[in-house]
Parts: sequence; C-alpha cells; structure tokens
Amino acid sequence: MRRRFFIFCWVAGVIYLTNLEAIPIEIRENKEGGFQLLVEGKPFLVKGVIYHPIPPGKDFTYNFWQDLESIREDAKLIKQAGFNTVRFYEPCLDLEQTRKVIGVFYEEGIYTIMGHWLGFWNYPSPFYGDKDFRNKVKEDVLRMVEALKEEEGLLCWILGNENNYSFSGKVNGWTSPEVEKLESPRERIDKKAEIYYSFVNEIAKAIKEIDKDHPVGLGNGELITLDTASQKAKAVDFLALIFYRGKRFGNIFNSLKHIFNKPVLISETGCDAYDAYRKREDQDIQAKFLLSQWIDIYRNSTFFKKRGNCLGGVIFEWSDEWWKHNPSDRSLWGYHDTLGGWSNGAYYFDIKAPRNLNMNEEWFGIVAWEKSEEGFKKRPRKAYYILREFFQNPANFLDND
Amino acid sequence: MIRKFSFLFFVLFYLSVQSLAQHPQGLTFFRENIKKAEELFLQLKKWQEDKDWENFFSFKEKYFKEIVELLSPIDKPLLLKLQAHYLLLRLKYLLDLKDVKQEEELFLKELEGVKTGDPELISFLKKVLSEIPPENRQFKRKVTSLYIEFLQKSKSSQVLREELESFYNQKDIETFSKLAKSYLNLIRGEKEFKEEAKNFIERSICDGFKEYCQPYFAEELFKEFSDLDDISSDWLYLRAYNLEKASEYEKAVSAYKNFLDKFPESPLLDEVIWRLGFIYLYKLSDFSQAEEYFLKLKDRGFKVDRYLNVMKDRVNLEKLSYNEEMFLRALKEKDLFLKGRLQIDSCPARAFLGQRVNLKSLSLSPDTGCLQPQGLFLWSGDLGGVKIATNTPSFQTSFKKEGFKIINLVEVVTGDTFSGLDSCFFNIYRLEVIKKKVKGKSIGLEVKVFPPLPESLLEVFWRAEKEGKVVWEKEGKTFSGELSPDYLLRVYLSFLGKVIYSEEIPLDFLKS
Repeated sequence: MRRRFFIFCWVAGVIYLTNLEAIPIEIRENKEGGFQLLVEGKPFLVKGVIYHPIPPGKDFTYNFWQDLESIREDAKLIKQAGFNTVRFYEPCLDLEQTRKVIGVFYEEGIYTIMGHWLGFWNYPSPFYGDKDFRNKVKEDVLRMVEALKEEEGLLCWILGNENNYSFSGKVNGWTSPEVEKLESPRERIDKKAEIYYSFVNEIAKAIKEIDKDHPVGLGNGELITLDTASQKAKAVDFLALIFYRGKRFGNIFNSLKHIFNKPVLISETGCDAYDAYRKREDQDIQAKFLLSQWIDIYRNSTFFKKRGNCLGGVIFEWSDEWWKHNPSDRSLWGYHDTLGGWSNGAYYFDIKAPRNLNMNEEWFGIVAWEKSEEGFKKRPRKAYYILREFFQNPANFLDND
Repeated sequence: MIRKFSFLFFVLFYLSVQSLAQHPQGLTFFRENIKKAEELFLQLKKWQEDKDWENFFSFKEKYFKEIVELLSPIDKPLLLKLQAHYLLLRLKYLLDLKDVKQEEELFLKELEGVKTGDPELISFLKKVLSEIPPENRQFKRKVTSLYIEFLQKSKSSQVLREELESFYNQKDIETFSKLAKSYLNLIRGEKEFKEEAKNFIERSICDGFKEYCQPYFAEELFKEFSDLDDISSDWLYLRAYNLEKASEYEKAVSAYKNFLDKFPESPLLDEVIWRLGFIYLYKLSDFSQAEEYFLKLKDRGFKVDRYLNVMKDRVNLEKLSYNEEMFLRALKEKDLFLKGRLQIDSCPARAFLGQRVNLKSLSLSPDTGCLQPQGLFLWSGDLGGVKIATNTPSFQTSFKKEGFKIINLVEVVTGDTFSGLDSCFFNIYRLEVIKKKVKGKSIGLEVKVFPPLPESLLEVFWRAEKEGKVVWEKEGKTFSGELSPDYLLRVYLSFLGKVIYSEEIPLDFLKS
C-alpha cells in the first residue's frame, strides 16, 4: 500500500512539473540586489525605440496604425539594427488594429511596450483628484489591458509618461479641493503627487488582477517626486523614467536604490541630430551621444554587473516628426523646422544657439525623412548604424570606454 | 671586347637599380602603398560625406585593416613615414577610434629632433594643420609650434614671406612677428630689406586703430633698424606712441622728448606736449614734470588750469562729480594698491567730430579666492555727453567739439576701496572739404584736417559712386575733375594703411 502511494505521488509530481509553464515575463531580484527582466525564462535587456512614425505633412492625429505595410518595413529595419522592443505611448483607438501591429512587430521578434497617458492630455486638465475622471481613466486602461494582454508580443505596461511635471503647474496644471486647502506651493506639489501616485497604484493593482503575466511600470519624468511615489505606488513593478541628461545618466542608478528601490527602465532618452548653433544637421554628434547613453545603460544592467538595476533603454525616437515645433500651424507640418524649442545644457554642442534654445524636437529620429521623386523615404542616420554595431558586440565598446 | 663588357656592365647596373626601386622596401613601393591607402581612405570619407552609412559601416573594418597593412612597412625616409602616420591619424579621426591620442603622440615623436626647415616638410605640415579637426586643439597647438620652428629654420625667404602673411591674415600677430624676425635675418643685406622692415613696423606697431598689434616687436625693429632712411618726425612720433601703448612710459617719455628736440616745428607738436603732460600726471604721477608740460601748453593757448590745479591740490573735490572725485582721490593713493589691475583696453589715437569712439576697459580681478567683489566702473572726464552706468566696463561716445580729450576710469569696490585706475588720451579732429575752384564742369576740392596731421602718415582718397557702382577712385588730398549731382562722393582718410574715417561730401552746390 505504502509503495503504491509512493508511486502515485511520484507520477503525480512528474505530471505536475511537466505541465508547469515558464512565466512568460517577469522581473527578478538577485541576491546582490540587482534586477533582471526575464522573457521566457531568459535574461532580456530592453533595447527599445519609441515608435510614432508621423510622416511629413501630418500631425499627431494621423493614424499610422493603419499602414501595416509601412510598419512591416520599419519592423525589419528595427530588427536589423538590433533593437528588440518598440514603445507606444498609447494604443490605437481601434484596439483590434493595435493587436495587429503588435503582431507585425512580434513576427520580427520585436516586443511591444504599451503605454497609457492616464488622461494627461485631456482637455481642460487631467483632474486626478476627481473621482469620475479617475474612474473613466481606469476603465479605459483596463479595457486596453483586457484587449491586449493575450498578445504574445506584449512585453509590459507603462502608466503615464512625464505626468509628474503637472504637479508644479507648468505643464497641464490641475488641482483639487484638497490641494486648494493648502497654501504652501511645496505642500501643494506634494499633495498632487500623493493623489496622482495613489491613483497609479490603484490602477496597477487593478491591472494585476486581470493580467498576471506582464509587469506594470510607472512612467515618470526624472527623479522628481519619486520619494512620494515610493510610498504611494508600491504596487508598480518597475520605474519607467525619462531622462535627457546628455551623454550619460550620472548617478541616477545609485540614487534610485535609495529613493525608490525598483528596477528602472530608461523609457525615454535620446539626442537630436541638429546643431542649432552651427545651423546644420550633425549626425556624428547624435551617434556619439546615443552610443554613450547605451554604454551607460549597459554598464548599469546585470549584463555587466550583478548589482545592476537597469532593465534597458528606449530611445526617443524611431523617425523624425515634422509637426512638433509648430503643432498648431498646418502649413509647417511639411517643413523640417530647424528652430530649437527648449534648452538643455547637457547637450553642450549647440547650447550657444540663440537664446540657448538647442533642443530641436523635429530632429530626434535615428531615421530621417528624405524627399524623393516618389515622396518621402526613410533614411537611417549614422546613429542607427552605430547602435547596430553596439548591439552586435557591446563588449567591444565597453572595453574601449 | 672592352666596349661589350662596358655595355653589359651598364645594362646590369641599370636593371639592378630598377629592381631595387621595386624591392618591397623601396621608395616606389612605399609611395604606391601610400597612394592605395589614400584611395581607400578617400572612399570612406566620401561615404561619410554623402551619409552613405550602409557602405561606410559595411566596409570600414575591412578598409581599416587594409590601410594598416599597406602603411606598416613604411619606415623611411622621414617624409614618407610622416605621410603614413598622418594618413593613419586621419583614418582614426574619421572612424572616431579611441587610440587616436597615441597616434598623435607617434606623429609628434617623429618630428622631434628634426633639425632642418626642409621646404617639403614645411609644406606637408601646413597641409596637416589645415586638416586637423578643430576639437583636437592640443594636438593642433603642438603641430603649430613645430611648424613655426621649422619655418624659422627655413632657408627659403619666399616660404617664410608667404607664411608670415598667412599668420598675419589669421590675426596671429605673435607668430607673424616671430617669422618676420627670421625673414628679416635671412634677407639682411638685400635691397628689399629696409622696405620690408618698414612694412613690418607699420603692421605691428600700435597706432591706436589696430585691433591687434605687437608693440614690443615693433620697438625691437625700431631699435635694430634705427638707421632706416631719414627717420622722419612721423616715425619718431610713431615709435614714442607705440612705447606708450606698450605701457613703457619711461621710454615713451624719452622718445617724445627726443621728438620735441628734433622736430620743434612738427604739426604734432601740441599733441606730443599734451602726451608728455598726460603721461607724467596720470601714468608716472610725477607732478612737477607734468606741471612743466602743462605750463607749456598754457603758453600755447590751451586751457589747462584744471590740470595745474589738480597737481597743486587746488581742485575743490566737492564741486566735482562723484566719479571725478573718486578718480582724483585714487590718483593720489595710486601707490597704495596694485597697479595694472585696470586698463582701458581700447583707446583710439584720434577720432573725428561725430565719429563713434569705443572705450573698453579690462579689469583684472584681485587674487582673493572664490569671492570676487563686484567693482563699480566710474568714468569721468571728457565723455562726450553720454551718461554711463556704474556697471559698464565699456561704452561708446562721440564728440561735437574738436580738441584733446582725457577720459578717466577708476574701479571702486565696496564704497571707496580702489582696485585700479587708468586714463585715456586722444585727439578729436575736424575735417573740412574746401571747394578750390569751379570751372565749367570741372570741380576742385581739398581736404583739410584740423589740427593738421603729418602728410606722410595720412593718406586721402576719393570715391564717386552712382547707383551703387564705383565710378572712379582718386588719391590725394586735393581732387579736381568732373562731378555730377547724382554721384555719391565720399572722402576717405587712411592712417598707416587703414581707413580711419570717411565722410560723404554733399554735392548740392553743383545744382546751383
């Protein structure tokens, strides 16, 4: 009897173990305190690019999701460069179309990071303190998750982007009765942060109830207000941070271990290819900056050191967008504007531009649009090729650095 | 028989020389290798310029290896070796390789100890200098330094002459003066020597108008070539003025006095006496000497009581403007604080009525560590009617009255602590164009300058334009010829080759 029971247990155990599936996507912490993203059980470094291919003459309302042929061509090019991920700030209104696009990229072995703005660009303002607003946004997010969670090519979710810049009122300012009670500007900012990050936490928990297979990230601009996030948004699995710090990221990876010890994905970074001081395209400097950024990303991942907390990076962006400098003037969407829109001293090569406006929003692509007889064609810039070399053999570059 | 053997011997000798040239270590072989390597490099460069990244990145590794293989056997002669090194360096710049610094060091090492100023080597280095990327500043500086060294050793006066002009045009007056010295040493004894020396003096001398000058070099030339034909009063004046601009006040005073002794009838006489008074009062603080010269000016009809009263402490400070009061206080206390902490960096020798005058000061901060006090700039004297704010280290003005002007500046830090003072002296001139005669369609015009300037230093030329195009140009302070009311006529005054003033001459009188 005992023997039969033992054989039964043994057979049941074998059947159970063989039916166990690998968790498709997960983040693990090692004993040294490093974080690693695993896809199908294998370490995965996110080598991503933001995909928002608005052609010259169009603006952000253009529905690029419909042009599957063009997306297929891009996917091949993206793959050839060595990228393994694309990031979208939000899905198409037509979620079915979104699924198709995720599928097109996955055919080339490219994963998709899907984001949601969390109502940030809602008019008149994103009222994160308002219950109805929050419910509406949450519904929208969960609808998106429900529709896309089964897609094999889906990597993870990112909630928000630089929404935290709204706390100071400078971008898409909002308020609430709770905030209005406070007099001190500092307290107001903190209160808004609490409200917002609590909301993100609520959504993250709700996502996990319906989708246990994909990590959820908090999109945040810089390290600003992450101390509050560390208290209010503990349910997120990783931080998806946006940095424009020039060639390197400084000590952010170390700082984060103390501020909010979660794995970090550099979800948006880059360099424009226009020198606003010398008034000419400069592909060399863009290539240098992006390569340097990637070396830094790599050095802070577990692919380089056990304590690494960087899951990878996502470059802004795949192709130039010619509408960005003057979104309200349709006549300029077909013109490649060379004026800088904002200033950043970390991009020192053209900081002497008039009024120090050296960041050229229309020139961040690693692929440029080139006019030809048949219309506009895409032409990869030097950065595309440099990164291709880097992804093929990062060790070459790390040794020489 | 002997003839046959000689012939055979000659043929064998010829063939062996040819084969040597084709030998793997021969010159022809090296030159061919450099040529092939250059072609590969230029192809890569073209792809980069055309932004043909597909080809550039596909072939760069292969071409790099091939180029290194082609260039590695080249070890002599020196010029070929340098060409090989340089090509490799350019390749590494192009590919942005990390070991480019080592390549630069190797290149420089080859040049160390080279003793000659070989023209081919000089020409090669010149080409290198023009191609070094601007961001490689340190390397460029080192190569420039070697280049100048080789030029100075050069025996070719033509090469030296060309290069010193090139540096002059790049406004590198320091290098220009070094090469000019070497050049003059080479052509000493030749017929163009004096003319060239005079030319270099003119170009390096500080005359109050040049943006860049080398007063010490000019003085060296003056000293060495003081037997230049008939040193006129004008040249003696220029030498003294140059010394003044170089802040060599004792020597300037000596030179000005020499001028007074030799040329008591010169049109520059008044100006020189003013300068002596000015230097003694404001630069050397020798009040008794200053008084002597200001009294001379008084005898000549100039109003100088103010300066005489300053020296006698008879100036009522309370009646002066705050700025002037501070300046005079500082003048008395000059020895109590460091000299040379403030300079009026830009002070013209002369200007004309209504012409813009730029005054620019240079303040050298005291060595007080991190905390540098913010100075107030207190301008006083003949300011031309402008009001200047106290945080203004420079300003522009113009004058409606001719005559000698003195502008003073004192920098005050926290109340009445002085950190420097300086003064600027110049002359405001008036230009008159006199109609000499009118005869039929022919007009005679003459330019007169008040007070007068020496003719050898001042050149005048006229230019007539019609509808934006030059109709004619003529030199000389007098002009006669045909003019039309629809012409635009301008007269230009040039001092030591540089145009210092121009004025439009109205031609309305032709209509009547």
